[in-house]
Amino acid sequence: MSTRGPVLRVEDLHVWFDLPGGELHAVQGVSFELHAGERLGLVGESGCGKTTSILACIGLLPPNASVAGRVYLNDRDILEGGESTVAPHRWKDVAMVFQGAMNAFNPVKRIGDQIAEPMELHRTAKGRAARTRVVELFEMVGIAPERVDRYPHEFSGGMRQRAAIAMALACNPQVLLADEPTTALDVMVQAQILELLVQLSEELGLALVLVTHDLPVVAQTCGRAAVMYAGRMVEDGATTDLYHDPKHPYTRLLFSATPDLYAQEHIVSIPGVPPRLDRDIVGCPFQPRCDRAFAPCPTIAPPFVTVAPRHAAACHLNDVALERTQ
Amino acid sequence: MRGADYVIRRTGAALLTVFVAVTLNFVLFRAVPGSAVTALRCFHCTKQFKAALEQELGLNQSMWQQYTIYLGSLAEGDLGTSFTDHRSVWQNLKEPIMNTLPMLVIATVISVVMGVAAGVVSAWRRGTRIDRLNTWAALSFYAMPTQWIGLMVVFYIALRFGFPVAGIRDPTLGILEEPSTWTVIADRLRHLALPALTLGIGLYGEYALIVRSSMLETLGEDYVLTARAKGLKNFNIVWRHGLRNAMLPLVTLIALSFGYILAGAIVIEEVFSYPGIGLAVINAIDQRDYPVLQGAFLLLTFAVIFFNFVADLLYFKLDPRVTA
Amino acid sequence: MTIEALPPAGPGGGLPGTDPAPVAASAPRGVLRQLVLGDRQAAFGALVLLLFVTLALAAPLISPYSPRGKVGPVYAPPSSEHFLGLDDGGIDMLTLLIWGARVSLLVGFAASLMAMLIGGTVGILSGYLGGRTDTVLMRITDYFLVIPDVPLMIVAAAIWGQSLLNIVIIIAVIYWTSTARLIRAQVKSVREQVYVKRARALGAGNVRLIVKHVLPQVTPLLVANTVLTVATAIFAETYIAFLGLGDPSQISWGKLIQNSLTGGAIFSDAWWAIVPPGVCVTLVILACTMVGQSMEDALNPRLKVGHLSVHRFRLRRPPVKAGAE
Repeated sequence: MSTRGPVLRVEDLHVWFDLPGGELHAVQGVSFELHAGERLGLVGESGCGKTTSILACIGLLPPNASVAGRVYLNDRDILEGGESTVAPHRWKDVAMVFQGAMNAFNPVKRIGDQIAEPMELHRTAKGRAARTRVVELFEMVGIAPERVDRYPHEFSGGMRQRAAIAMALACNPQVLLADEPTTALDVMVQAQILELLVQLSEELGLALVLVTHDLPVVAQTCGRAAVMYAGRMVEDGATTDLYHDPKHPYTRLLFSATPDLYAQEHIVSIPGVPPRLDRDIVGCPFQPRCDRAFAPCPTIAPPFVTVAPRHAAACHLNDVALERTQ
Repeated sequence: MRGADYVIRRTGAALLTVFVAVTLNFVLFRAVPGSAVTALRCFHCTKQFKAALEQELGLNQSMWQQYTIYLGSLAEGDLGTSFTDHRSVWQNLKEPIMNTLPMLVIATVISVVMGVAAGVVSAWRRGTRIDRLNTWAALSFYAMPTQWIGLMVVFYIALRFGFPVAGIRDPTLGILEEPSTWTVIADRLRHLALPALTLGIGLYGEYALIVRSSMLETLGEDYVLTARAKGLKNFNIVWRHGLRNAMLPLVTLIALSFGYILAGAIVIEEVFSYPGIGLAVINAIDQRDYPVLQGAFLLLTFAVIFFNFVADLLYFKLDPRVTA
Repeated sequence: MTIEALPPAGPGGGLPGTDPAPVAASAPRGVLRQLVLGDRQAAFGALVLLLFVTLALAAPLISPYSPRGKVGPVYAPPSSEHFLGLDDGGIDMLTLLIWGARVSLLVGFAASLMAMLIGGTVGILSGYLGGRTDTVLMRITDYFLVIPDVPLMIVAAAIWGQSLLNIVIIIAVIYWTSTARLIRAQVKSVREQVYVKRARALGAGNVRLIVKHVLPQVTPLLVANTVLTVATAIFAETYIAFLGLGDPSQISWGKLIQNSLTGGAIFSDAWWAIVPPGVCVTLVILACTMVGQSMEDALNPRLKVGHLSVHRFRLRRPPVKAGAE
């Protein structure tokens, strides 16, 4: 375990959905890795496959989905045997925090009981010990312990999200997958929740994947960011590198399309729409919207390659040989 | 406290409804074409007798006076006197109610158990063959008139397997010797079994359909995804997170359909000649015995109001979100 | 008709990256088409209904015998002349069933139409006007909900007499409440729609607004609900007739069921007098329920992605990289 290798390594992940209208290739070969204590922001427009990717990591997909690829948890492929090999790791090793707007809690059960539920299930604690642990978790995320016996509707949105984080930590997971955890919360609460996530990942050595469409959130929280487009990874690197020296036009446009903090108006986003995922994409998927597309883009798909130390991107612009032929 | 406040409010609402029901009951029976007595069918009903009866019942007084008298006697628990046998209405109805009650309870238990089981299995196995089979069965039983189910049960089950098809006890029982308590109970159950079963089957379909759709809705909730992420197995998801939430609409439905349950009971009692409240109502109609009919209708309305009240309290207990 | 003028149904949710186009396309125009072609249940229901309505309308032409004439011995079993045998009066059962369809369907449709009128009016007024009107109307509706419906029907039929019209009125007066509630909710949401607000701001009168904007939007739901009420009304008729409170001069399925009990069909072993009327009622109610339910579902999609299933996601091999290098 202490080999210092990545806690989570995803290799060439594909997800398809069987839909009445045909098949949808939602995730088209995503790869990334994550070390203990590292925080990775997974960014992209809605519908680009970021949520599907992380759900696929713990097999939380509907029955019309099929999956290919490998998901290594401490060098063991947990996706290998499908549901049966991935199920034991849910919550125990890989926990999730869902969207703030979601009813992650059952409205008719007490919050404390719902947090204790996975402990009893995975036999990490039970009865009185589980309760003590819940109180401990409440303190950790900053909720008054006497609220353990309250119902979800008695919590504010921010508190509910804190409780959801407490619930995610119940079994001491190594990886925390957070899917838009601050969406639908107001700015102040949003900042507090992000701060809490950062603090917890540092204190507990949690590897955190933060899925969001909100770049400032990533900039505040994550040392590393991965940009997804049309089900693929287009760039992966240190957040500062992505901001100052983007190696993919999409990343650049995404950053420039992001409004300044406190700016009231939404700046116009990138013109055009992402390609449909229910048919094969020829060439670079971003090419129709790209302001720097050139000869090879419509026909040849750019490979996802290392362009600088700890910085990878999928764009022909980075291929010196190609650029010369332009 | 949340609880006390809620109970007080609900009780107030229920009492108000009772008052409206009483008034409606009064109006309904005064709206009879002619006087209630004119239509009376009995052997020795001479003109003079009828006039005397009108006098006695106060039918020659003003509506308002009649209403106050009616309210006054109701307040004393007096439901009136039967036209036909001159016993009090309550005396007339007490035994039939006591006969119907066990049938209703058993039938409701049967229908709820069957309905919940079928609905849950269907929702859980959505889209499989067992789901389709269940749904079709539920729909079909839902579409069958209860009295017809009763006839079919009598025709195809009772007659062929030697179940009693009429009454509530074996008339030969006790002729030769005093039967033991056990024999009496066994005999009673034999008479009760098929009517209760019929009513249960007649009701289960609707419950199954409701439970299925409510369960499906619940299984689409976000917290079910959370439960899956937590590593819960399907059975535990259904058991711990699905059932209680899916049961909420059923509680209201059962209370609201209590009138419907009664309706089923009435026709089934006719089919099985089971001397319950339904048969009492039917006899009262045959004899145009309005006081008994009015009393029975009032009691049935009270029963529905009562069950709605209980359902409200139950809902309150089951759903912590309910406040007022 | 107005089924074409549906409000756009709820947002086409679904999976991330799903093209919303197919979902959206099916909502406004396709309800009718979807009913006839897409939904097998609804198609089956519509077919059964159509069949029975045709039988009922054509009764005088197609019924093989007279519905009142004795044509053979009491409870004669089915034969080549009488497919479903004879009843306790020696009358041809098939003929009785065909004529019974007339009364049962007439009561069903007439009562539910009347219930639709009452319930629709109350619902529209309540939802559109709001305020005190709404409170009062809904309070009345609430009281109707706690009255035991069938006992009230029995009492009312006993008190007011047993003509067919009375029975229709009684059923309608009891079953308008669910329609009223449903329509009220729908009208409330229509009233809040932007263009209705705009029309009101532009000075359109209440009547005009209701006729031009509200009515077209609630009509489909009203129709769906009415189809469901037909089932309830036919059911109610069988109850009333079974208890001997129906119009004694009319033949209905409910009365045929009653006849089989009072006429002693059970002890004469005459299944042909017991089974068929119930089967007819069941089929028609099944059909109404299916059509009505499918219409409501199509109008009001509550589809959610189920998070639980017996089936699991599948594993597959990754695709061969093509055209990459």
